[in-house]
Amino acid sequence: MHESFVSYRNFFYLKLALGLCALAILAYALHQPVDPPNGGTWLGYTLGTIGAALIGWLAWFGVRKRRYGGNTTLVSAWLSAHVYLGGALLVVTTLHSGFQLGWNVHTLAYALTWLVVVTGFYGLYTYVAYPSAMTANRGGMTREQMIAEIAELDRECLQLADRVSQEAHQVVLRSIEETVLGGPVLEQLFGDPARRSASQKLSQGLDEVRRKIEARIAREVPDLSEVRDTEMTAIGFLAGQVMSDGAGPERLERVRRLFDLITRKRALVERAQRDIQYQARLQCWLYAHVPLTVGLLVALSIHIVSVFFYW
Amino acid sequence: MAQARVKIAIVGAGPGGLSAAARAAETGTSHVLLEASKQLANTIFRYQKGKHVMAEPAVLPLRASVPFEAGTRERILAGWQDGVQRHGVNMRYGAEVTRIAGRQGDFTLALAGGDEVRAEAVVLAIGLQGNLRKLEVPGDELPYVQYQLDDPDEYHDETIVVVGAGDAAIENALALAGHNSVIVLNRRDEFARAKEGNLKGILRAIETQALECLYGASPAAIEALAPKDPSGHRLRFRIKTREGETEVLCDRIIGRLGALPPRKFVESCGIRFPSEDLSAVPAVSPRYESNVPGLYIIGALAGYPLIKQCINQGYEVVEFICGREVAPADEGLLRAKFARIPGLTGVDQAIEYIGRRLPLFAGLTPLQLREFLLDSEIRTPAPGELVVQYNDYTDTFFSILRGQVDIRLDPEDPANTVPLAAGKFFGEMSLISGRRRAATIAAGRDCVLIETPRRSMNKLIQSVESVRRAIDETFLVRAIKMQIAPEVPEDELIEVGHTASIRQFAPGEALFKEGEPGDSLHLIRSGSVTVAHEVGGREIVTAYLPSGNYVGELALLTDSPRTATVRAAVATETIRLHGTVFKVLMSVYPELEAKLKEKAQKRLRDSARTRGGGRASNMIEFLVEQGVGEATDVLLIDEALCVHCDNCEKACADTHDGTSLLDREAGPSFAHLHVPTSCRHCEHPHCMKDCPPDAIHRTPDGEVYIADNCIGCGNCQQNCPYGVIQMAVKGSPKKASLWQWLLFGRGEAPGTEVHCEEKSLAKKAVKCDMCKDQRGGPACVRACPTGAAIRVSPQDFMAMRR
Repeated sequence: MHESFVSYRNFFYLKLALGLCALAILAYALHQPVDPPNGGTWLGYTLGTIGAALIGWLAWFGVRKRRYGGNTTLVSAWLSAHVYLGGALLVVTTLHSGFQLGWNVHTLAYALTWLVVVTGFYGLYTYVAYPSAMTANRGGMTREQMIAEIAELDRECLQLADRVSQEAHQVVLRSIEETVLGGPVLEQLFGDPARRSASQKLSQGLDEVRRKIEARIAREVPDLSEVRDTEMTAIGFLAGQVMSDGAGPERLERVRRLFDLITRKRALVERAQRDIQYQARLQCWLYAHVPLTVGLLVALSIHIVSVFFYW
Repeated sequence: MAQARVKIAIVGAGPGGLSAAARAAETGTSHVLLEASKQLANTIFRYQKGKHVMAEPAVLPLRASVPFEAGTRERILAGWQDGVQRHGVNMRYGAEVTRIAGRQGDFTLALAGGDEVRAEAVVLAIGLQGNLRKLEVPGDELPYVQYQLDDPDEYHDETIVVVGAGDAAIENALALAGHNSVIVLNRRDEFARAKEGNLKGILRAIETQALECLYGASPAAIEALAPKDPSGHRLRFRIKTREGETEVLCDRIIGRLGALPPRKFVESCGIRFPSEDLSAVPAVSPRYESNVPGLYIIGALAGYPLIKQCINQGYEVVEFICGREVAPADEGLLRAKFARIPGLTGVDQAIEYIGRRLPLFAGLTPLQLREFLLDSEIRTPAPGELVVQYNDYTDTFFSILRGQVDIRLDPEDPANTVPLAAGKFFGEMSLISGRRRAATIAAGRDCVLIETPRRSMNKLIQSVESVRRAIDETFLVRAIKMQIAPEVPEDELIEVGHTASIRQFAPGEALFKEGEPGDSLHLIRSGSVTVAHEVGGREIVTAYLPSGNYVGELALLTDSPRTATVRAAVATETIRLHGTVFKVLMSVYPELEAKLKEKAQKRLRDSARTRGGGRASNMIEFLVEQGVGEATDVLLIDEALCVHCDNCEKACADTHDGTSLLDREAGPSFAHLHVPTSCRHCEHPHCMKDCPPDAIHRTPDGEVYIADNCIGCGNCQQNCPYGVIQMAVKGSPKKASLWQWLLFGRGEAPGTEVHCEEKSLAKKAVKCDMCKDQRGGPACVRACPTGAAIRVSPQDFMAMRR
């Protein structure tokens, strides 16, 4: 019963756009002007008018989607038309140019058209690809719930670490202080490479230590020297210490629970970070798409006005 | 010192007394108004500040020399004060009447302090609130033991025990719990007398440990502690519980046990009570005169507790005493209504006539009938005029007083009708099931109808057993005829109807289980059910059926055990038809059997498909768990399409005075389907249950909306199990201009939540109205850029998913 803007009315606007392109290409192929094809022939003017009208109408989408009252049409229908007719614009403007490009305001308008459409298509990709991924990643939680649970896990970790040792408390506290969600735009979009590799190493290390603690609890004596040698985080090192100083089963159990909590928290932090990343990617392209559109409208105006001076 | 004799002495300056005094003053009748306390309308004076006072019954006109309309406590008190002064009422405050002696023409009223007042007639307007029920244990008059609470904010950081389980006790306890440690003492095991909103409030408070409740506990004794008791408390409260006696140290005890007629005093005046029951009130004549001639009783002591009734009676009683005839206040209204019925003169005659012509109302007293007719409308539609339309969501009830109506069997074919004669009624289907009208009904010749609103009809059904029974029986026969056996004449179905019974099921309860012997058929009359099959030890839901459907036919047709488990999705009522009776019917009408078989086969095919599907079945289960089983229209978001842009919320805020009535992110999801927090327009809306001004309505298209006469009491917000009602100031905040924002960045972006800053406006309840006043349907759906948001009937949605 849900109808995606992509397949709206059985791809009606895709068909319309393809029809428009076919018509334009056919006319272009049949057209035999005296000069090489350019914007000044009757076909050139026709295509140019269609292109300019399309650009104006496509830009109007920004207004339409913010007019909430008094409309009887669906914004999703508008978006469907916006996407496909926006794609058709590339064909129309290319044919309009007659492939005559140069270093001038006319080609600037043409180039901006391409940039706007390409950023739009990237947006289309995010709209198609990310919602499902985002839902799967959230696993039924909202971002607020994730953050609240991270805070709760932090609190539990601290409490437990306090009962392990003073050092453990310090280490956990530092790790909490270092937990970062969000951050600058680039980090939101792509993540911080340094932190990512550190995080991977930590996850591996955590797994290893946990296995060893479990083995120790099961009274299979692990090779402690290996734990100590592992190039690892402070937490791993701490675990090694706890085990090597002949800790009682109670303390070991606490350490194991602490590691469980930390592992759960790490997974949740990663999920929250990915959620932020998806959201950022769903929005970021608009920061290029919209200013470029404004630039295009300006360049287009200059293009039209200056063309009339040729007359 | 005895004063000169007045014509009327009025005892008690509540609404009734002050109204009587004002009327007496206005007509120049010598009188005196005696009030024991220091102010007018002491009970209302002690309401908490700013409390909204209702003026029920709304249709009853006010007849008085003082003003009264619904409003804040302060406004009403000021109006009365002003009225009393304007008319020059002879008022005596602090005048407690201790004894009334004498007889008509010469009564003597003794006042505390030795004074006496002499009067020809006495009006007792003392109400009940002057006689609050005490705890009746040793120590119940100690300081810090009180029976009223004026301002809960007066108390902070105290341990307070509230005794009682009624609305007053709950309201006090909840208000106090904010700043104090509160313990509620409840004699019983539940709060049976409380309004639904209060009940939910107190149970939630107990659950969240905002306060403590002792069930099955009653007071034993109260002792004062020494001023510097080490516990820091003031009172020791001994309490009897089932486990034995216990004690609580506290600072204050508030008893809210209701009020009783001051029987001793009233009896000392010579007035008789009809029974020994403590709550009994003395009987009065239609002119409010008691068994003592010249001694009149009005208001709550005479059994009329509503303020407007008291005020009207105050006026009327003075007219009666002065020998002027007055008809009851609603007479004019009723006369205007009955004027539409040709050939009837006089209100009493018309009421008698209606009672005689409509067997359904034969069991009503003239007074009940009068109240019922006051709420109803008389309609005289032209022949052929459509009274109800198929598929509309209207819910009024019609009685045919004269003429006939034509029921259209096929909504498309106006010629295919069956008549329904005078004396019968219709509209009970929608009233009971909460669903759309099942048929179109057109008026016949000379048709006179009585149309009654849902609320009045429900009140009648609940209070008059004969009406409930008659409506149930008719519903039964008509439902069987309409849903199962249109070919069987109604007379024969009456037999079937007698063997049928109405069954109620709680959410999740099974109508029957797979493998049980199949001895009956259930016709769902309200609510909805799920059909499940056991697969690998787990119940797999294969279908969802709303009211109007029947289940259980398969086992009857094949004489085999039940093939599925059917459970109520929400609180559900069914009509259970006995198998043997039904089989006899099928043997007489083979076409009935054929039709049933056909339907059963289709269901078998469908369920086989769903069982293989797995996901569709889980989807139905999920939606039913979300309470969608009682929804008529639900907002569903496809998370595979939702880009989290919140355009739906912005559109909602923009079209609803700056408040978004939906919360996109909140609410559960299942397999990409998200049910956000937004109104579902339930079949029997929970919000409608306890709306004092009757402000929540349903449009013929099904939208449940809150009208402007909302008083902001918050009952609907508490009663809604889905949390979709908010309290907000309903003003029109200045909308920012889209262009100003777009071009110059001025003002807020369109769709930003803005709240009206107007302090003088009170908060009112707001909820989704499905944009009923907007062209093009719900703004949230229209504004979704990807097509992720839709509003659908759950029934259609689940049918599509199968």
